[in-house]
Amino acid sequence: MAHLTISKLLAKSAAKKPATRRYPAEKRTPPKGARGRVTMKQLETCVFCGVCGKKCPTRAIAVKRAEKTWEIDRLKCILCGECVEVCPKDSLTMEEEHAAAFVAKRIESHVQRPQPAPPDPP
Amino acid sequence: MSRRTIIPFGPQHPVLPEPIHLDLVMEDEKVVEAIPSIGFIHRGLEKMAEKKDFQEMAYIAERICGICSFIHSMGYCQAIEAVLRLEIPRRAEFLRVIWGEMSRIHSHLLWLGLTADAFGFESLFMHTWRLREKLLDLIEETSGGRVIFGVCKVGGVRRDVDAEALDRLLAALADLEADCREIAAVFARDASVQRRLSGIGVLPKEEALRLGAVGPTLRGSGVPSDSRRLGYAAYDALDWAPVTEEAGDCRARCLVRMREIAQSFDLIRQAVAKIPEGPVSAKVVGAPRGEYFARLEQPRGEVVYYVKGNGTKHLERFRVRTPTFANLPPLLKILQGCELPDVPIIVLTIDPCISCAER
Repeated sequence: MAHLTISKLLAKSAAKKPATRRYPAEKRTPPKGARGRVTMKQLETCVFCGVCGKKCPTRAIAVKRAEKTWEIDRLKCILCGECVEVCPKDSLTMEEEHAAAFVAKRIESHVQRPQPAPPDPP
Repeated sequence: MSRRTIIPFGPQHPVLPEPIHLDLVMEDEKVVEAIPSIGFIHRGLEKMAEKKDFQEMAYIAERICGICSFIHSMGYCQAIEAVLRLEIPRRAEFLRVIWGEMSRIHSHLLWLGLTADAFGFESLFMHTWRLREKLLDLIEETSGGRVIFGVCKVGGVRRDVDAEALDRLLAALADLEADCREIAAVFARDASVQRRLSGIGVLPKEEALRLGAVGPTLRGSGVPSDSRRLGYAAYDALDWAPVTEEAGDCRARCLVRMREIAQSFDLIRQAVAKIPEGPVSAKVVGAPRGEYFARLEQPRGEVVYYVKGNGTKHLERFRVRTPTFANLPPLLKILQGCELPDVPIIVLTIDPCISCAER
């Protein structure tokens, strides 16, 4: 049995800078490959096939082909990344930074605007 | 005979992170009997298996508990793979071992911190959790999630870790191991820690076996029983032996966990050295038909997964026997005859995870 066995450790950590971050002055950068949030990166390439919505284990994603909308309920999303993996057009991405907290329930909606018609061939 | 009184303990108690209620029948300051009641956080996750696709169920299995999350999904996937007679790639098995052992270190560090907090050693608690934080960062780097790994799926794992990342992991773990040794010395030798743990809550070997204790509770009583000996995943390729302590008291259970942290570091090193190249997942064909019991070693002890499939994508039955549930009878036994101030420590030393136990 020994006394004050932690004193060496305490002295060492007193000499070092704090182990915690001085948030909000110093923000944490998430490591590469972290699952932060699912975003619709390229709405123009989305074909509204709805595979992401079908694969989603919590049904957080709703795709409406007729209205060309892609919706996500961030409170339902469990960040598994299945949608990103199955997207045939790579329209979805997993960002490392997590979504900011919000004060009211809402569904994030993305509506594809009509694309300009391709120029007529000469 | 002195007058008996009943003191309610929990479900909300400063040392308990999770709700369990004990009615402590007291004679003066001595506990004569402890009567448990559970069921405060039953969520019906087993029933959900009948509604969810069996592949999606891996995510729910992982959420049975926030601390041993990875091993829960691993156990579920192993059971389904056995029913499907699916051979998973060897690399996936090694990755499962690496993540499983990281999960074990994280769970044990969390427990050590909580225990230090329970006996009022605030600075030791903070330092233990400082180390756990470093490990959580490593888990996030390799798997993408901090607490919920989300990498285990039926048929293997969902992401590969390249050689460079494994080297970085080893280097970071070497630093962490040195830090852990400093903490371990305090737990093993400090007089104030010994006074709160030594000779408290003794569970003799025969009683531990008779009452069906599992995990560090059983190994702390000198029984070298560890489900990893079954050689599931890649444990058959690694060289190790179960950690045991003879005393059976709170200190022994604490030391077992302390030494298991060191062992887990070693197992990760061995797994990284032996990991073969190749794919990390196999294609899942068909739906499970049949039943299987999978046994795994969680940080808290042996966990049993039972799955029964009927050939559809929904399981007919899913059942989990968690280590905390098995450790409740021994807990009630060791509470008999202890002093009231020791009750929180004794309850903590079985590492109760009530959200596992009730699902």
